[in-house]
Amino acid sequence: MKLADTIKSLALVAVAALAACTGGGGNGSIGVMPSSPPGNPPSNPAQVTTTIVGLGDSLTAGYQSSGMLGATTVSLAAYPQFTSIGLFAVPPTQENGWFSLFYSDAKGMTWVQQATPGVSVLPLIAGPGIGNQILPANPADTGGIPFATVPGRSSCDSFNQAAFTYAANSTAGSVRMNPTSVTYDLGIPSLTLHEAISMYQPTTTTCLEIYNPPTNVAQAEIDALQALVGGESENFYPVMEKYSTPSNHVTPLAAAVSLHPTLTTVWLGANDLLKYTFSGGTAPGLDITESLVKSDMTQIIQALKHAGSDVIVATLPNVVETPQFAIVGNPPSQAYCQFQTWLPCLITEFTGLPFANSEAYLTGILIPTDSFLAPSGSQNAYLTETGLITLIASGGNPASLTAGENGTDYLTASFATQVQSVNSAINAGIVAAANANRVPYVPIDQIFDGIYSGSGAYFAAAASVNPGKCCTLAFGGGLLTFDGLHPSDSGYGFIAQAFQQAANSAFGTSIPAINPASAYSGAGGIYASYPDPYALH
Amino acid sequence: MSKPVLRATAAALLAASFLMPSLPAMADGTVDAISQNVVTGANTAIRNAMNAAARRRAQRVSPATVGQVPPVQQPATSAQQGLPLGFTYTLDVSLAYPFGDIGTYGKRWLPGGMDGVLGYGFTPTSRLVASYYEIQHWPVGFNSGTVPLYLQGFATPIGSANLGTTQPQLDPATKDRFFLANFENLFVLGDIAGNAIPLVITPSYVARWSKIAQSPTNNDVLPFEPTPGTSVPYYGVHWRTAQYYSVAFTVPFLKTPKFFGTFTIAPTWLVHTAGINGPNTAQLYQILYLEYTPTPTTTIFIEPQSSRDYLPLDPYPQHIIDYFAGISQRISRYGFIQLVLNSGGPTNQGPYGIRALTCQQLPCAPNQIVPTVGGLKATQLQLQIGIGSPSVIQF
Repeated sequence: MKLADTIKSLALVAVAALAACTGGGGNGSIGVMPSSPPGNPPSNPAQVTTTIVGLGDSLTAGYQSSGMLGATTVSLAAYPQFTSIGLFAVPPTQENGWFSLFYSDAKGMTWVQQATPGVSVLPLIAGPGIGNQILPANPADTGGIPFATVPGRSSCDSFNQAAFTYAANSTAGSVRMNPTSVTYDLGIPSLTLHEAISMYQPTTTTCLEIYNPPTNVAQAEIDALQALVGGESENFYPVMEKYSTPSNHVTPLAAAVSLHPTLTTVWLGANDLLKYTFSGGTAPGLDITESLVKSDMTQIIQALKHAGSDVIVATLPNVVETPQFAIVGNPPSQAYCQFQTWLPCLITEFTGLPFANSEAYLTGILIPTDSFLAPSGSQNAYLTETGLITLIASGGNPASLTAGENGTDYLTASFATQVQSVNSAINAGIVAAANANRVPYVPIDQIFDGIYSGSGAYFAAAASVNPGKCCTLAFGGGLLTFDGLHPSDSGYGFIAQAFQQAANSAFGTSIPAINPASAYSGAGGIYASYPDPYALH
Repeated sequence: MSKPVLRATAAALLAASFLMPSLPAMADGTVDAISQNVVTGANTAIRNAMNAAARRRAQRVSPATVGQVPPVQQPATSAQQGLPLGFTYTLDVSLAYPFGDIGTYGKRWLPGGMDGVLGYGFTPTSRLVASYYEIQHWPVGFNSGTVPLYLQGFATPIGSANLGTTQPQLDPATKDRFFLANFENLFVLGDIAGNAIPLVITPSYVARWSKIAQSPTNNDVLPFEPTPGTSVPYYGVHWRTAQYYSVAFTVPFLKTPKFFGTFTIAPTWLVHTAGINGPNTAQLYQILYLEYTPTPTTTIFIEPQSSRDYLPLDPYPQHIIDYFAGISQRISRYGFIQLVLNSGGPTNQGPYGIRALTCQQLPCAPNQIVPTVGGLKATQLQLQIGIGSPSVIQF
């Protein structure tokens, strides 16, 4: 599907989803850290935060809404439909990431400093940014569409292509604003767990599809590989430019070690899960078993500890709880539309049909027609955002979804079970490695489970940010951005808070409290000084 | 220098020239370079010492006993008391034919190159020898078969690749060069049951380097990845360049008019570690040498070995069991011909040859393919032709 079609459809869906978000009540605090295994005895809490390094993927990088940007000066003056965004025409993403918040909070830096080349510890990406951000827009200016991608850009435009090339650690030719700066955020979007140990250069040199495979490897496999490795290849040099040249072969882990960290956050594995999921379970070379995850995570932890660093790791959310996936089934009640992403909820919001009619369409037309969307026992199938957009763009025609697109348009019930099994295995491996090496872990899965459940302390803390408007895990619920996977400013605020609390608990540090509501409102200081553009206000 | 001494020296050097070029058979050759050179010199000294003791005994019993004419590799029974005195040298050339699965590049004769030896004996109990050898060989299994294909950063293979059809085909033919410097020292421990027990102690230095056919830099620098999918490849490491220190101890275990045997044990160290070498602890080379001389000009020998080869590609030494078996024939006063079958491979490092390929980057162009190297094994028949210098080889 073309991007323009995608965005148009996403817009329609988002209208419904955003309207459906009525928020929740409660005054609980997410600051309660579930018990986690004991970490290293804090040798000297005052020194733990001396040098903080983040090793991870797009989540640590501060990726949002299909893009990564550090510059605060990207103007869209020629496109008045974007003027409603607020302070910045194209909002920067990296400064709003959880690692930026966590680092700034622990080190006494500000959001503005993190946005300033020469001062920031982030690998600031110049405008217009890597990827192509899906931005909120004024529906009145865009014919009712509440968001769109930046006009004139594509996933393989000249800027994105330039990101594949090493720029000799200089500004010339670099997509970085600060290519010569020592940076401490080593989050590389699309990076897998194993790649953190072994990747030392882009695995593909271009965003274009140019192949020359060795014999005995099917072209289809190479095609799939090219798609599989494009993300981390595009983001490797922009993040690693200071550390890894085409000749010195420095991996992300080696770069982290070279910084002599005293505290390293390691949050990896999400791309192993996502690449498994979106490839329909066919992607090779991923850490998708507990033993593989434990082995690689242990190698990372031990390398960092050997270098003198305390380490804190984190588990993954249950991926099907994110609004990237709409449940193909009828919720127990319409109230669930407020905090979970169910397909009938979106149909009702989009078409204006009574909820009962949406449910009848699902069970009477869609599922019987597309048998691959049928539930299996208590397990429902899921539509991905792509599948959802396809369906809505066709006016609800079931024939628009075709069999054989498992992982792309939808997850069958049985494959969804496999995805969740892999999800659990990765988390088990992370926890096992943490326990075996006596490092603390942040139970992100439990936090997401709590918010997703619609009750309990975690949900109460999230939903109370702005009751009725923010924040839940429903599509448009304010915790995640328009790509359905990456957190909003508010969502990153919750994650930063969890890391901050885990660090204080495990190491005895005194990192000041992080308030997600301040990230939501744009309170300044370590937070942006403008409201979260991905949440309702 | 007396004529008998020259004769003994000539025979000893001829023996050395026969044995030392037979290096390529081994999986790699380093240990063979050490063992053959060291053992040959030690054997000469031991044989001479034992012959001298026998002569002394014979003279006491029957002064009319006639010395035996030596086989080509055996110094003449003469007045030589131990190691040859004065300058000695020799030159030879060789050819080798490979056996086993050596892939699409194999099955043809390889020129072994030229070998040279120069020695100087200070006394019958001490001699300094410098040697230079060139050999070529194909390790078994290098460019044939199907191996897993990895993509950099992936923990598991993305497919498989046929080494025989992957372009460009990997050509592992190597031309190895060795330089050895030995200082041979003969000790006679005294009589046991009326027999002298000689011991030769030989401190040695070995330097080796190489050219690999595939190398774009006309040397042995090629990329390799120690462990596919889990490590960063090396791009600037010489595959077959290393230096060693060794101290060999050689003693006889058999000496009759037609049979002769010795045993050598030689702790050896890397001069320095390189590549992915791990701890540099002493490696014990053990060499058994047994020869039979049915006629004065013919020698049949076998030489099984337990060796330790340690190249920059190896995290730890390869434990190589190998053997040499051959026959040599003197064809003129100065010429000889020798045929040697030799084979060897590691017992602790497998599989043999290239065991995986890793594509470093898509598009997966040939210059992006990095091999992972397993154990090195080779089997071949070697034909050697030598010409001794008249000033050395005299009968």
